[in-house]
Amino acid sequence: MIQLKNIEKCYETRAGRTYVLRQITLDIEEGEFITVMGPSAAGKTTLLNILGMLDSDWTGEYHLFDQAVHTLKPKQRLALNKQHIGFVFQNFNLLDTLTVYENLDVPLSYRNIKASERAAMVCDTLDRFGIVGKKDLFPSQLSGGQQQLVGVARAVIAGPTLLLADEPTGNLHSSQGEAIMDLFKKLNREGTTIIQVTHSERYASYGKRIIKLADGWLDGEICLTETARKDG
Amino acid sequence: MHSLWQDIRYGCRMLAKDPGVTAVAMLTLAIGIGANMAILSFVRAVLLDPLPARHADQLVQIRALDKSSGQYRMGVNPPTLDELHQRDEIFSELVVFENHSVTYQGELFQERVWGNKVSPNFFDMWDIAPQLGRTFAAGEGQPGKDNVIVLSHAYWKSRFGGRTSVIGETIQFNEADLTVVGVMPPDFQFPYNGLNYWIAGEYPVLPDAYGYRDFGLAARMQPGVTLAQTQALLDAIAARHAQDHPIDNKGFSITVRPLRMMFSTEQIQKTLLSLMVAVGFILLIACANLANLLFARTENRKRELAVRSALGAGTLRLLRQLLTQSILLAILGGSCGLLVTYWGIEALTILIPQNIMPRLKPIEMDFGLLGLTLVLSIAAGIGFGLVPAWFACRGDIGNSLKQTVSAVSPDRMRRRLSDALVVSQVALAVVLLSGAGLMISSVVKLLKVDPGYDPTNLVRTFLTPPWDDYQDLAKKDFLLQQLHERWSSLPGVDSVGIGTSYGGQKPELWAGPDGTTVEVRKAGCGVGDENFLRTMGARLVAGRYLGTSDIGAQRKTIVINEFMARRFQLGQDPIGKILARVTDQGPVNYEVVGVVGDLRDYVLNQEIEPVYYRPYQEIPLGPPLFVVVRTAVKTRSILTSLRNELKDLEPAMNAPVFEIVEISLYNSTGSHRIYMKCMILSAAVGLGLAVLGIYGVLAYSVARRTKEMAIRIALGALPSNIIRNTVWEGLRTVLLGIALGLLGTFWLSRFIESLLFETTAHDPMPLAGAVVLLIGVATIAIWIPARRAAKTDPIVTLRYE
Repeated sequence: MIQLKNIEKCYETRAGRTYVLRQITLDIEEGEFITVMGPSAAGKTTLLNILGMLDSDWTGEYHLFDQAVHTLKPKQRLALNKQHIGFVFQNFNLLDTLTVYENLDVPLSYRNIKASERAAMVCDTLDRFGIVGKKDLFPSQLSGGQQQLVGVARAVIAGPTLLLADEPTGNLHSSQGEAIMDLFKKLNREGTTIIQVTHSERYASYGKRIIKLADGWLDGEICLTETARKDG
Repeated sequence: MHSLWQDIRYGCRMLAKDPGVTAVAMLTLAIGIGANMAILSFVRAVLLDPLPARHADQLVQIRALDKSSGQYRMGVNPPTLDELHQRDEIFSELVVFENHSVTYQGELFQERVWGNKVSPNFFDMWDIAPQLGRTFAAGEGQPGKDNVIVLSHAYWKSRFGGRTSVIGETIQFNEADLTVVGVMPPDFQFPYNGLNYWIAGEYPVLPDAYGYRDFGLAARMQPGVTLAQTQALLDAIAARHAQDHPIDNKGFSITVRPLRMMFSTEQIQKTLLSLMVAVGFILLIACANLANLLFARTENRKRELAVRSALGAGTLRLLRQLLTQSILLAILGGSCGLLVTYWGIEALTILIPQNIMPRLKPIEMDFGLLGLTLVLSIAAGIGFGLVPAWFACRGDIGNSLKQTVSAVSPDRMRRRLSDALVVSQVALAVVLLSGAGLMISSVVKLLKVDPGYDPTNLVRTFLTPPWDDYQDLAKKDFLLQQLHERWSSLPGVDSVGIGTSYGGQKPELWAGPDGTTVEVRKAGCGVGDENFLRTMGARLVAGRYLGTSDIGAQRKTIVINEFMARRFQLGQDPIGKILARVTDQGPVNYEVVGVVGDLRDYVLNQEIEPVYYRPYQEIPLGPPLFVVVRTAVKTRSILTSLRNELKDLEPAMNAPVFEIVEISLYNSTGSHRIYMKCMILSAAVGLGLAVLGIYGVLAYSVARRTKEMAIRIALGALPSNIIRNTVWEGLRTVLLGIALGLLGTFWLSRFIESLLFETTAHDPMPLAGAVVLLIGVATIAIWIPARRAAKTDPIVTLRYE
């Protein structure tokens, strides 16, 4: 599904060139649940942004479903993003002035879907995530866990094949975090490929593979056995 | 379509979320657009489209020009009129008008009323309905049917108290009984302001009256005929007349100009142009404010835009959303601008009266203006929405997503642009303030002008006795002598002086001892107790006043003004010098016996001319005769007594108008004072908006740098350090703006220099005043956010961060 070859990203500073990612080569299969781990400034979020096509200033080769992302024009990348990718953020990033219903509608509004269809999809998602009762509330009226639930619902409403989550539990307490991770596991089982960034060993164990980064370099991979995953 | 509706709904919600900023932005735009629309409406009604007529661009005024003096005459002579009537291929309509007056017996005196006798088709030229009744019907104005009168609104109000039943009434004038058929609306005052009526009549057939050029002429050119073609025709007529009848026509040409130019002197054009520039500056300042506000607002939404981008929104989609919001704001601001326009027009109509800037139709907003406001608003929305939107959309999405709002700092280019906007609005405010300062200085100098006499407790009146009864000069002199005696004996009267004015008289050519020739004016002056120069308190610079012995003496004597003495270079001792009046019969010598100071009789900025004085007894009937009265009591209290004495002496006298000289001189500065008020108003609005801009940008900068302030304080910075740094940050842009503004003032002020009185555009005092005022107000605007920054609590702020 995803092939990365020699991906590099750097910044030009007065002190010279500073690399954030170095020669990242990686294959990710469809249906995988990958966890990216590493210390601060290891390049985890940068890697996620590149995978999500939020960042276009890098070198190397990136293939997504046999599409050579590195050769695509911005408009084509945007189309590919809309078709395949959903994003979950650590700080939820819900739009403050929109209700839960409207927040869920936002990604659909960028996808040329008829209003009636969109309404049906939003209602279906509200029901699926058990947040029908919250649909008219604004983000500030929700708890952190509820906000992230809406964040995940918003990320998956357009039916992405790849869900990218940048420290999705970073701002949640443990019970809320587990609920979100259970949700991810369920989505993964239903076929969504998930790549998450986390510092938590425990939440990493929900995935099938851990990719470790250090100082921008790939620092190893760990494949988790079913037992290890169960043990958490 | 649905997504557009969603953008609009979301835009409305975002505007409502931040009501303070939205209100300031709306107000800024409303003032900018409203002030411009109001002035534009005014300019349109006064300069561009003042005529209430269809196809007004085809209307022209035709009048004779005396090329030797450069003076225009009121119109053309009857033979020219006859010829023009034949030229159907050039003119589709010719309207003739002539000054006219009628008299009636008032309570005390015979009242004279001035109006116009106009050709019967006069009102056909205008696209304006009478307020009451009708205008001239077909056939009216022909001999036997010329007893109808249309009243001006002001005359109808003043004499008939605005009574509607006046229509159909017959008014008895001494000359004829006239039936009132209509009353025109208040603004219609053609051909001049203050006109009382129009009566219809054919102009007389005078085939040889080449020297009479008092028939005013307005014409409608045939469609497609140009001014150049018309001028060519008039040149040919003038050349033929000059050749065939040189005595009356040599040195005269006939000129054509658009009729609308009758109402716009160069002074009015310059005044309105400078006001347009002033409100244009206000609009620019408002725009800079708006741009900075939108920058700040968009900056705050950078994270939201990044989220939307991550959720699949393309750049164009984001731009559309931001633009929708800006356009919404602009439409709201534009709508409020319409209100400001309405109020502005009302204010300008009150502030600038008809006699200062005449207009024939009311100043009002029309649909064209409404459309222009809408277009301007949307253009402002797009213009000022696009740049911040572009800045917001070009940012690094990943970075914006990671950071909290307060940590997202504006990039350097954005910040420079924002500073540049503040600099530009300060510069514009400096130009406005300097302009207002120069105008204030000009008006102060004008009000301080020494008129050459003491105007307090001084009354002047022009006398118009029934001249037919006073053809005998001795009889006229006796009347004046009697009047002098009666008025002088009234309690409260100090002295009474008599004179004749040179106003409206042709200048005479005089030669000096060295052969220098100068055009000078002749004025009549009483002698002894009747000396008006003495009554006015004119300064006797040298020699003596005229005395009884000078009347009719063999050796002709004159008193001259200082300016005349200078023009003839009579030196330190002009008394006894001989000056000669150049006549067709040869020079006539006069001896200078006295020199008086230059007088500004009627207006304070009166141009001083060389004037000589002779006893009025030697001046034949013709020049306006006036009497000045110096009182020891309040002038108003004595007017009734003066009027009653005059009535006793000559009941057939036309009603005198008593003019209190001090008030009259003050009123002569009316146009300057009005212009000064307009400039002060513009400068105040400009300064207010600029200061709002300075405050807004600095307050925003401080709010975004709360964390930086907290860290500085935590590291030991004192509140005074924070205040000093913040104030300097704000003042830096203000000082740069002031420097640029002063340069702009030097460059622009030459355009308003002609509107100033004895003030140069580089006058240091007004400029210094403008700078000090701006620095003072700006410092307050900077101080408020600086103090807020100094009060940052590092514990609270850093914990929050």
